[in-house]
Amino acid sequence: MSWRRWCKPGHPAQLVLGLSLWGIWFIAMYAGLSVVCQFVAPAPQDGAANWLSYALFGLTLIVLALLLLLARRGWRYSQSVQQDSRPQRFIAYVSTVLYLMAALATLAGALPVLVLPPCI
Amino acid sequence: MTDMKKATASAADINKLAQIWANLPGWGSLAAVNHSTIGLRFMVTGMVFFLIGGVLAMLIRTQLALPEQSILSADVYGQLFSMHGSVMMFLFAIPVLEGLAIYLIPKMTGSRDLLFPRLSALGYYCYLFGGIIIMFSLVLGIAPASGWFMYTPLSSSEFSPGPGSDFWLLGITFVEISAMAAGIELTVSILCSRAKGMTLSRMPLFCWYILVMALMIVFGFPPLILASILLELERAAGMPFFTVAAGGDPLLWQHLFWLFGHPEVYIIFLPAAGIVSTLIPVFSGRPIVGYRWVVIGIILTGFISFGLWVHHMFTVGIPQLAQAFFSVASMLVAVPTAIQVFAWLATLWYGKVVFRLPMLWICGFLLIFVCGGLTGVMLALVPFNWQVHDTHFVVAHMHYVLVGGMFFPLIAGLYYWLPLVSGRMPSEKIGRWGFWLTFTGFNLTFLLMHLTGLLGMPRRVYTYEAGLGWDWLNLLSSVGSFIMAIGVAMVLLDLLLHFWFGKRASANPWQADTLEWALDMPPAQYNFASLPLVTSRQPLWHDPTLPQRIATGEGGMANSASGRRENWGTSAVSARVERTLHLPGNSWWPLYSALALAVVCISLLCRWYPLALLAAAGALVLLLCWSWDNGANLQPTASPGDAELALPLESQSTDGPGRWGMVVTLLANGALFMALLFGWFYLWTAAPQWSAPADGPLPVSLLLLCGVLASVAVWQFNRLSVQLAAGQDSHLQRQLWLCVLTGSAHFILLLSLFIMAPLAYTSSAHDAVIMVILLYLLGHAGLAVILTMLQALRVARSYVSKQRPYEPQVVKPFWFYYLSVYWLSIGLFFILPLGWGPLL
Repeated sequence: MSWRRWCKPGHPAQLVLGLSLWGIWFIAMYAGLSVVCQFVAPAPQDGAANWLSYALFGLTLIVLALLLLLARRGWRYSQSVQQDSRPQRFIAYVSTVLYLMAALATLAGALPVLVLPPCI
Repeated sequence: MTDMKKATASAADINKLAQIWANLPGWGSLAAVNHSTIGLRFMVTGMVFFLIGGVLAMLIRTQLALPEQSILSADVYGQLFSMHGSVMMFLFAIPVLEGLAIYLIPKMTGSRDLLFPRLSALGYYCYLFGGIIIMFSLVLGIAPASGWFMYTPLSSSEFSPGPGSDFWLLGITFVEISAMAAGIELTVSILCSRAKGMTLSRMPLFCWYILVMALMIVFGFPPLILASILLELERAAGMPFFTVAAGGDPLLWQHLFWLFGHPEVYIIFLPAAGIVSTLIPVFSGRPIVGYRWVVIGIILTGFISFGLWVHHMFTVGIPQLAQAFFSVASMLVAVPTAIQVFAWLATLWYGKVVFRLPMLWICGFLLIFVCGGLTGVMLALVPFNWQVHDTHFVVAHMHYVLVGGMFFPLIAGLYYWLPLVSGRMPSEKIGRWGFWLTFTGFNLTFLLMHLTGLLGMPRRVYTYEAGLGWDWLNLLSSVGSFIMAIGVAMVLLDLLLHFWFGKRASANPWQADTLEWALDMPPAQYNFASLPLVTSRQPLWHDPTLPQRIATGEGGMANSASGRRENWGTSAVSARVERTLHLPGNSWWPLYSALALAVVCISLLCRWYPLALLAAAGALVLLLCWSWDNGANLQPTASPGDAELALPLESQSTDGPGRWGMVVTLLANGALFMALLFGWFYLWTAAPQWSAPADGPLPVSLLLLCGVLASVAVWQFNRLSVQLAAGQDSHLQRQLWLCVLTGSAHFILLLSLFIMAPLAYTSSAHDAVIMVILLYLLGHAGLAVILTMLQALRVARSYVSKQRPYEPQVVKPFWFYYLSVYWLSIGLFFILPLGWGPLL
């Protein structure tokens, strides 16, 4: 089973790829926050405006962009695929919405970074 | 149906099918593996545990009915509420839903059985024996008393010196074997053996729910299994994973428990929601509104539910950003649930709803579950959570979600599928009385409990002073609980009596759309006389003659000439028929293996370690014998019934359900490894007195050498399996023995390093974790060598050859998995810490 097949928009792996990316982002945010706060915590008086918050939000924007790109690709595929390829169309449609939902979850989860100091 | 065999199922064919699929008579029924038998056993056993859990609840409510009562002592009360929670969660909710899924999935997907039927039987016996062991502690008066989530240090040996915690840890782990077995089996069965034409987009929603639930079990249970093993090691061997003074941290338990515990809520909810999504369209007389959106909601729930666990720990001192992070995730999970609720409401709105008995329970569910969901969103808000933490408000919320979200749909489902099981209809009158009493009693008990909690009554107190404002609320809650108990008793009575007094059910009595209603009532052990072709999401609405055509043998595999339990193996997405599967029949291996594991469990409880070791070795031997027996054999390989389709057998191919089963098992194994990795990094960053030696406990050069040996073994195994898949089997046995040799050298070197390692595992959490990871690696290395050895022996008997290249393809992922975790472990447990010294 080659990786190229897995990456195609109609492949069932797409059903879990977007939320898996969200999961990896989630772990990176939570674990990264914990480790950095343990060893090189930014000064509390900086509030939310510090290098760690910017780094976490930067990571969020990268993941967000990736998810939106994947959603766009999935949507285009779902519109182009022939009517008789119903399972692939179904997978492409469902995975597109799941990419968008993963993007929404990523953005919503990262918003507190902009207003709360990280290590208090 | 142009490409399907068109034969007529003669009486002789039917008789032969019945003979092939029959359980053994008398005591031989203990060797039964058929999914209908095992599914029903799960459900009946689950209901027995439900009754026991219910009696415990009644005792709790009797004690709390009035202030300052002493019907129960504090200690007994502690045992009762701990056992009530444990029994309901681990011995009732999950197993009964697994049982329902085991019973229904093959029938809904147009299959004759699940793909690993002996695994189902093993799962059942592990559940039964584990449950009996746990219940025995209650009979002896030494049950666990630390609550159903067993927080350390309360459950540690210092504060719980008796065997109560051990009963919980060992018994629950034993029961979890059953959940894992069901998770793996259901995943592979849904993906690899649906009816021809039942593509993913035509799959019944119930199957989607069960697929996601099964995968959640695969990823969600390993953290608890690991936590239970670590706590038992701390209690029995003094390895201080949760002891602050030795570098451990009690909060690690909470993290590991809730990493399991929160997804568990959805593991329970999803199958119940699957029942709702099945019943609402049937009683509305129309397909569900937004099928694709419901699938989206199911998958979203499965993922997001893994990101909420910290909301159970808002009061333990977590940075506010992390709290906000998990608070947002907790609120987000309401989105997929809301998608499903709106799809249900829209289906009801557009349909012509018939309020038969199952629909009453569905309406009850909608009302109660939405209320429970809303208090869940309240609890996701950190300030509110702090205020009501560990009060009766949380108890009320939990019961609204679990009883509303699981019990009500379960009863709806039981009433709905009852005619299928018995061929008889329940009594509408008794059923309606049962519903209204349960519904009224439930709300009287738990709606008021929200107020009791808001007024400050903590959970788990065995009594309270009069005059705190809690008296009348508790009294009414207790009255409500007894009303509910009468309602539940009426429902159970109805279920029982209908077997004798229920009216005969007509064919498809609810005018349902899914394939299980194409079967006889009660169904034959083989389910389908011939395997159906599916062309729509609602096969019975689309083609009302389908049941007749299935019965007259117009589907596939109507001819049972091979004399084996046959089924189609289909592709995961498009449900194309790819192979013929020979499913294993009745067997004693599952019972014997479960008995050996029960002996391991009991000997560990009694601290008879030599016997435990002996029984563990016995269990391993039994499981290996079972695997030998289950593998390919030399019986005729062609399936006469399907000669025209020229389908290969699984053993003649290089892919199939066995390989999928191995991969899903390794996913579970990987989840356990990741949980261990989480524990390692958690202790490193958060344990207040964590300390690690400046030099690693083992020489890195030797670990690297050991890794090179493992890499060579994997290379050897991969090369031979690729050659075999390409149709070359020259020197196959020699190559396998060579791989055994390299693997053994790796194992011996690793074992030597382990024996020589100066690990102070009773005084240092760091060394204790290193000990666990070394044991984990040793166990896997040893198993990989044994499995390869067995393959070499099977080559000698021609069970594996270029005609039968399948089995090495099943073992190969295990070797690759082992190699990956070996190098990851060396990097993260032994090399990385060498660089963190200056940071500490």
